[in-house]
Amino acid sequence: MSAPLADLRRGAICIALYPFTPEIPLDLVLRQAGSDGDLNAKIESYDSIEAIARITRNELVVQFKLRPVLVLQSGTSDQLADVLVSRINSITEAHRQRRASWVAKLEHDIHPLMLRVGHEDHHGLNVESYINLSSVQPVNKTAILRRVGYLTEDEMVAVSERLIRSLEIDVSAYVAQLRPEISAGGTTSEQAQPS
Amino acid sequence: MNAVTIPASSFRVPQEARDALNQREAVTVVAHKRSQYVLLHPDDYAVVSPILERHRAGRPIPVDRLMTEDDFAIIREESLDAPDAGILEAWGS
Repeated sequence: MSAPLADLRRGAICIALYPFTPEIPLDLVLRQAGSDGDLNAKIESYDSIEAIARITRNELVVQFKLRPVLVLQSGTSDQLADVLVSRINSITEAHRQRRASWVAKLEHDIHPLMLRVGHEDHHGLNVESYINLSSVQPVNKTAILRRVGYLTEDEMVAVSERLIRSLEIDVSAYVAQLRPEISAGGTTSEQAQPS
Repeated sequence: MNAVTIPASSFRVPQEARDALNQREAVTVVAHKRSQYVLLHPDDYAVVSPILERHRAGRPIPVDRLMTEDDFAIIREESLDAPDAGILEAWGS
């Protein structure tokens, strides 16, 4: 029922059970949903990037929705239970009407923390969407049901730039090694050469 | 932050863009549907240049300073879009 580990490569776009709560008894959820045949059917037919799996037991009633996520790190090893993801949400008509400048930033690829996806076939999404990289969440790999698409290496570079901002990672030491003129505030070594 | 200065005579800005800049709006120059440059009014550049300088040096910037009211609203909406997902009932509840 869950996606094969080989599919959980960095950059994979997958469908996962939401909320991403590790404490939920996922084996029970998947077994029950599988026996009902309901979860698969709804995954196949989803058109609003949303579906529901409702599992009822005497002890617990849990309701999941299906959400697309971007896998941010390699999840192909069976040694780690969780993998980091960011959520993918659709760009709605309401967004276009009420938040036009936000949509324009996405379309022009100048949003500092979010990235537009869904406009290319290889993304595997039915609707134009955005990855919200302001938030990163661990997901148990069993809650990732299947891979639907992927981002290219160039697209993952854009993801990495946004993650550096989002996670407030200090890369100044690396920048200083690569471009010492910036940290020193002076001229480049090439410019400093006598002419 | 180092900046290159060029004379206005060597740079043509369409009237529409001049009007927008005079209104303190940013102007995005696109090519093949992708942003190539963003032009700012000098007073706006003065506001963002410290952030740009930190960013260029690889220093972290508090994430909320990179977000607009639209971003905050959209993230709030995201958190509300599945209010019926999660544990609905538990034994003894």
